Amino acid sequence: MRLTATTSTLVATIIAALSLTSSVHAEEFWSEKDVSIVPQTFKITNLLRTLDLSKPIIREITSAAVQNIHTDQNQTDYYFPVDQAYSDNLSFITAENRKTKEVLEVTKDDEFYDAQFQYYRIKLATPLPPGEKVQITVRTSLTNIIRAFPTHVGQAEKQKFIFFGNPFALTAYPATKQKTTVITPNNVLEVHEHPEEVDVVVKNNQVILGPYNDVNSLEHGIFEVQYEMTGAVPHIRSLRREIEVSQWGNNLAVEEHYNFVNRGAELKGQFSRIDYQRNPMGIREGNGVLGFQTKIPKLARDIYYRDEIGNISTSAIAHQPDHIQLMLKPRFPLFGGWNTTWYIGYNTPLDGYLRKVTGTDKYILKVPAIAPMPDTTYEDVEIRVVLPEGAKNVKAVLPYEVDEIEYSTTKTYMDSAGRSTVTILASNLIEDHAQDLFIEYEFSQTSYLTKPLAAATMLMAIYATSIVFSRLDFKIGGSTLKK
Amino acid sequence: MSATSELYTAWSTGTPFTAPLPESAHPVLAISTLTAGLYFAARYGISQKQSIAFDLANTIPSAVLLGFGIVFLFLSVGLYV
Repeated sequence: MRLTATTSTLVATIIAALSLTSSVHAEEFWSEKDVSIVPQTFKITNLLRTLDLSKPIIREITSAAVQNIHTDQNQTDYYFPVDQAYSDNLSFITAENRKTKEVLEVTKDDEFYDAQFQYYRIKLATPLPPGEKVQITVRTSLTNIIRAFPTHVGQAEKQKFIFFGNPFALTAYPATKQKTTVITPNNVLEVHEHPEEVDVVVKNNQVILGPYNDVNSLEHGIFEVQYEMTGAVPHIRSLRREIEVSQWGNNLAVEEHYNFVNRGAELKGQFSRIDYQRNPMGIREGNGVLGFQTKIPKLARDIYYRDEIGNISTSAIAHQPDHIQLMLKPRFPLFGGWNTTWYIGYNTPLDGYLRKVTGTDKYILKVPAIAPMPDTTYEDVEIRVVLPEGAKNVKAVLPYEVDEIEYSTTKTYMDSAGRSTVTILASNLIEDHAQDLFIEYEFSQTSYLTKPLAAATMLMAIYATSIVFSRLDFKIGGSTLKK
Repeated sequence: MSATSELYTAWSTGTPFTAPLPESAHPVLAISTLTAGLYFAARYGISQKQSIAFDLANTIPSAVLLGFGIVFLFLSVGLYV
């Protein structure tokens, strides 16, 4: 194609404009600077950020040495911004004091509203005097953020992933010095960064971005890492966990229904059983899910593992000192994009979970919210706790935010009034969310008699009918005299 | 966060739950209450035109014993009601 005169001048101006902008400093390339709306009472003197890409769930650890630059007031609130675009991906956030390892309280802030950033308020354990420094470590877990690239791989091929991130740590305060290290499971394949002036050093399986000096608050850019990662991306689309408390029988019954999908690179072509069985190396390097591991209580009994077809016999348990390790194998290996459903259940004695507040009729139940499965993300979780008949003033408390907590009534075996039920709906959970759920309720001793007396009343109704009917005269015509 | 920690302290200081009856007693009680309840039911069933007092004296214990018997029966076979 021949360039005409006008096109060539157009191309020349574009090249000139690009070269002009590329000579400008990194921060001023972005014409609109984001302004931090939280009170600028801190200054970050040094920040080290690690992005751990070695698992399907990305862990970001940000360690910052912050200094109180306010002239005369002690500060207690440190703000940590998260891009709103990642609000669906952010699954878990904790903060701790780096020196004392003390866990700090993190709450989602609703006081400062910004369309682009969501602020999290981290409360310092002790107020920080002016001029003093403290070291804070913030750990966040991001789910569903890496993409398989290419999207389809062969059965025994290694899969590669692509990750887009911010070369600068997103801070609400200006940072004098900051450095980001990206760790990948195997050697880094490719790195692209924008703007191009950002310093990037690639060393085997690490990408070192920085150190950058005098970074403004809310500074952002884009960098891209391509890397190889073997193994599946386990994802549970829906989990329904039903817990039934029976005080009569001293029993806690748990039943969990899973819908699982492997979100790794999809399988190219057909699944070949011959290649799969002939090539054990392929099993190790491919992304098929061969089994699930989960922990259940030590005293669990009557454990079952079934699906719609029936019992699944490929399972095993291993008794550990403080729990039972349950190893489940699905009916078929799950390659990228493949899914399966199953349900498991067991009974366990209630006295490890339910405690009575001495002197009152109040009971407190402590159960794990979900059973932890390693490296797995949960999309929709429904936890249903069915309490014994006669439970009143039910209240459920979780250590983290959930979508909804509903109180209702269910009727099952031998119920007259129905059993109080707590339904908790949560989304985007990971293994770290397997913390304790507390439910408190009131249950008087006389409520134990509800069930036997309900059955007795039904029987009495039958007997009463019989007593009445046996004394009624249904003869047709008058009574005849006996001869 | 503080709500869970205060519930956790309440939980740790509480007394562990004790069932109203030991679990080993469930099958024994089930069989004995069901037998007694059926005895009274049979006594009512084969009676011929007795007084109402007799009928009630047999059906009420029968209903109560069978009610308890059904609960214990459910518990001893693993249906924790």
